[in-house]
Amino acid sequence: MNTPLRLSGQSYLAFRKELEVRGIVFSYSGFLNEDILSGIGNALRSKMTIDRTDEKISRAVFSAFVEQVQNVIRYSAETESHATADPQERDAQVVLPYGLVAVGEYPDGRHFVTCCNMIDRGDTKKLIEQLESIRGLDRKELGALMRQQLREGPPEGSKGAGVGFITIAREANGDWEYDIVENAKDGFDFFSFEAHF
Amino acid sequence: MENIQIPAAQRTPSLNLDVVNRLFVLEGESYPEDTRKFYEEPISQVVAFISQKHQDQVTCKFKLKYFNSSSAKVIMDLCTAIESSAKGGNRIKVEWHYIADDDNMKELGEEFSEELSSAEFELIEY
Repeated sequence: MNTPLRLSGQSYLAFRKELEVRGIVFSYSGFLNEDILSGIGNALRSKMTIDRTDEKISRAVFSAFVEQVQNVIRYSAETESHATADPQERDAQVVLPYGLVAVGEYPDGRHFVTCCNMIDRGDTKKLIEQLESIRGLDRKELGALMRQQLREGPPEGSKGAGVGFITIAREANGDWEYDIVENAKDGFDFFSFEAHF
Repeated sequence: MENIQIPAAQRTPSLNLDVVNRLFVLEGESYPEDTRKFYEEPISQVVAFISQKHQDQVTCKFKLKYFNSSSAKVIMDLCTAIESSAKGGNRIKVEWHYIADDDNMKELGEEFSEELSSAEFELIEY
């Protein structure tokens, strides 16, 4: 007799099949850090080499992967943290953000990089404004905007150069989308972003 | 001013400053875990060197296969320092190397070259 707690190979097989149906080749859901980025990033490159993926596409996919995962690491509002044993350490607080990463290929041959994370409801409006401001811009316009932002410095609240989304949008030649599920969790909206190559 | 020799690592490029030959080279891949931690100290030295008065040409060579957006900020800051030094009378040349089929890296070079008018800029395919 199966109890709810017993391992079910069938359910994991169904889970795997669900990923395959969606064209997902790499997926990770859980707490993320820079080591996960390095590890999946290396495997992703190896897989694209084995598949003889076009070099230009491989480079763009890898670049989008790095930018998107770093976005999750920096901005996921859902985190766990604890102080390290040594308070003298520069980063005395270890913070683990929760996020979801998926990389794959649609039946039409387009590659995709998707990242999802919870954001504070209070930050949603600003994020939408930021993304809508670059919607419809082409590669050349995004390149010029990237340069302008780099010159002017990061906007308030940014933990990087403030040009992550512009970089991804540029490499995807403007082929990207996002979605927001409101109130996915108490106080949080669920943010998804996908770039196509 | 002392030379700088930082070897490449998995996520960071080699960073070299040859004071005698007035050559700065950034080569490899750049997506550090902590961009500031990696670049802050060496780049402040490089900027100080570039900003000095030089009799002969200073060459800044970028030979990057990949860099993330935080590293792009560092490159922009270098371009700003280079242009300002060139405006002040120094002869500075920027070489932007890119792999033959890498149009994206070539375009990024062209973007950064827009920041340079007094400094010389050359795109070099390899």
